[in-house]
Amino acid sequence: VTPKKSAAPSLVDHKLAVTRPRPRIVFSRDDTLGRASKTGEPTRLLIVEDDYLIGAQMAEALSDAGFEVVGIAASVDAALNLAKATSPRLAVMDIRLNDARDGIDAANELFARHRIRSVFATAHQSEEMQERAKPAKPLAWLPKPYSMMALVEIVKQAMLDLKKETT
Amino acid sequence: LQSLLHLAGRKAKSPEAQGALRDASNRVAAMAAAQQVLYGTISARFFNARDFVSAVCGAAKQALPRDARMQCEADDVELPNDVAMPLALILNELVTNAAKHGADSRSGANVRVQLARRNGSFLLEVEDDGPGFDWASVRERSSGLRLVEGLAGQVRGTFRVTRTPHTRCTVQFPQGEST
Repeated sequence: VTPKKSAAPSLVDHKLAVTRPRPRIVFSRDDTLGRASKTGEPTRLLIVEDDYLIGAQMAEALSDAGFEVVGIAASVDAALNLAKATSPRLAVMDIRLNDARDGIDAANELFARHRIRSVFATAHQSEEMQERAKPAKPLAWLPKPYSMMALVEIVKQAMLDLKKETT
Repeated sequence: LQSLLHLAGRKAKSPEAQGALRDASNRVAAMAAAQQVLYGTISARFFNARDFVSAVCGAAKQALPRDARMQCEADDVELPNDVAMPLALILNELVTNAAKHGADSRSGANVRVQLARRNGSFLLEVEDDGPGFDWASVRERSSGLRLVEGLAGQVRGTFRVTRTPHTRCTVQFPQGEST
């Protein structure tokens, strides 16, 4: 039985993505989230995804896993604005966006401006993409379609990798 | 898929579960109707607004009470494919909502749907004769309308509710084919 959620997924807006309210229930069953979760502060994540329903489902799965989703951005500009306003630790990045620029552009900007690293989700991973994404120092590539369980696992692993790098 | 949801809904014991599965089943039906229109369209990039509105309204009507009346109109214009699924869900949600809250005690709801092209953007309007509501104050309660709001964002549109003189929900979205 999954816990009943009353909080709705936040808005997806191309210009002004709305900040997600903090989840009321935060699980910290394991320490894969590291020190942050032990002090009661969940790791903050930004979701960049232009399909509203998929974004909402991702936010739900990641919140249930103990992360704090700061918002769902549907475009490169929305991602940059949200990142600036909420300083997430990590971005889960869809590559194909309904935008003139794609998720790789967004990830490169996020890293250049705020040192925010990304986990990429894409149906068509290519060498050209990997090459373009190098400046963003990708933490992981998640092949689409993926299950919410796979998403949570890969984000947890990415956080562990990030901690290893920084300690 | 729709039958599966329907069957699950009949088996579910709690009223909440039944309601959730019924809503899900109706949403799937609306998307299936939209999909049918896309299949029947020669163009790989556009579909006809009139065919679309009539198909999706037809699907939505089947889930409404028998005394609900519905009037659907659409301009004979083409819409880009990537708005089909979000728009089908939006339309289904707004029609269902209008039929539910727009009925007075004596007669069933009167729902009017219009999809028009206006000055370079598309305007979807769903109107009923109900007392109307204030979007800001029902926002927390209405998961259906939050879905509309989120999906409107996906098509780069805006969702508004007015009540002058009837309850009218509109979603306006740009015409430009997305990149």
